[in-house]
Amino acid sequence: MTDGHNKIELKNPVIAAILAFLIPGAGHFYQGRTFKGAIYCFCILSTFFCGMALGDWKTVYYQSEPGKRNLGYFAQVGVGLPALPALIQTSRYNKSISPAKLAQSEADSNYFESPPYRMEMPLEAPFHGTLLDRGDNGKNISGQLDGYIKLKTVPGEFGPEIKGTFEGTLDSKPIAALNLSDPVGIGLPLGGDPERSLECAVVREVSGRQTDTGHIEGAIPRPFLNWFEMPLSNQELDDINKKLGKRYEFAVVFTWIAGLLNLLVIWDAFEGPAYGRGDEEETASTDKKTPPTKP
Amino acid sequence: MSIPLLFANQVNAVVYLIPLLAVISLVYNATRYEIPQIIIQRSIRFFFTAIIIMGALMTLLALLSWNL
Repeated sequence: MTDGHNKIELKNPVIAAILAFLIPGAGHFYQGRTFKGAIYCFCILSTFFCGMALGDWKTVYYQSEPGKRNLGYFAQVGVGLPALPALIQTSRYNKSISPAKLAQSEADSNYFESPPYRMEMPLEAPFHGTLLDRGDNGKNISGQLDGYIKLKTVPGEFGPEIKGTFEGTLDSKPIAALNLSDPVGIGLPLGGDPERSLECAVVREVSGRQTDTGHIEGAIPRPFLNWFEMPLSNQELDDINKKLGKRYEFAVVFTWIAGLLNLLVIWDAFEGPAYGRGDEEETASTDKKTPPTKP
Repeated sequence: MSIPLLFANQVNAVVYLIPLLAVISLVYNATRYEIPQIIIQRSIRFFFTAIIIMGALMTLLALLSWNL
């Protein structure tokens, strides 16, 4: 450290360091060092959010399970507030998943939730996906579905079962409502993807009996708070790597670098710069005075 | 996915490094100096020095892997 830091008004360095950790540049704004505050705020936050956007907003999360722990989060958390929600999300995620379900996630790549999803019924949500079905005239029907799905629990012959309807379009053309029934598979309510997978059977009346004639497969949206900075399952991690390839790696590196750069910023807010105000002139004058050495 | 991000996926990986290097040089030099003019001068110098060093390394690696 040089004497130069004495020439800079650091106010309360501890408060400045805490502010600098929470929001990059905030500590410097507090100290009245607006130029540097603006540089830090713009550069670090833009790098961090560019990284998040490049990685489809799936780059920042904390996985605390043994064997799956991602140490990269400890670099990302240097950015402060933008990365801290990941800790809360991890805690929510771990509470929602029992060890038995975690074992299931290893075995079942689709990782559909077993019976507890009935607790969420009735469920109404926008749906998009595909239909594979045999129509009333016996012909096969398939295509892209886009519309609204409604599911609810009703008493059945062997206990409660799920019934519902899909209303919307098939390949952009309106269709009659589809009747849906068990078996139903719904992705977990919490997950790293903004969409939650859903599949269920389509039933039609054949010879006076409700018969399973096909199924729909697609996704319903997750609320923002149920996916933002939420840990990714192995399947979700594979999917994002498959989809983005090396771009995902770059995106993660962007967020790491943003967090690590903020550590330098926190130190600058706490202790001042390595060369304080005025040292630069001294250095420059020393350079000029020093004669070139000749052998 | 938005069109700019789709486009970004197509460009060479090196393009990602340029803004990243600009950010690193600006923030690093801002933590070392206090006067805005000095920060900017040193950042520009740092940026181009790093570009030259990285370019030299890439050229060296390209030459070493020639005809492999």
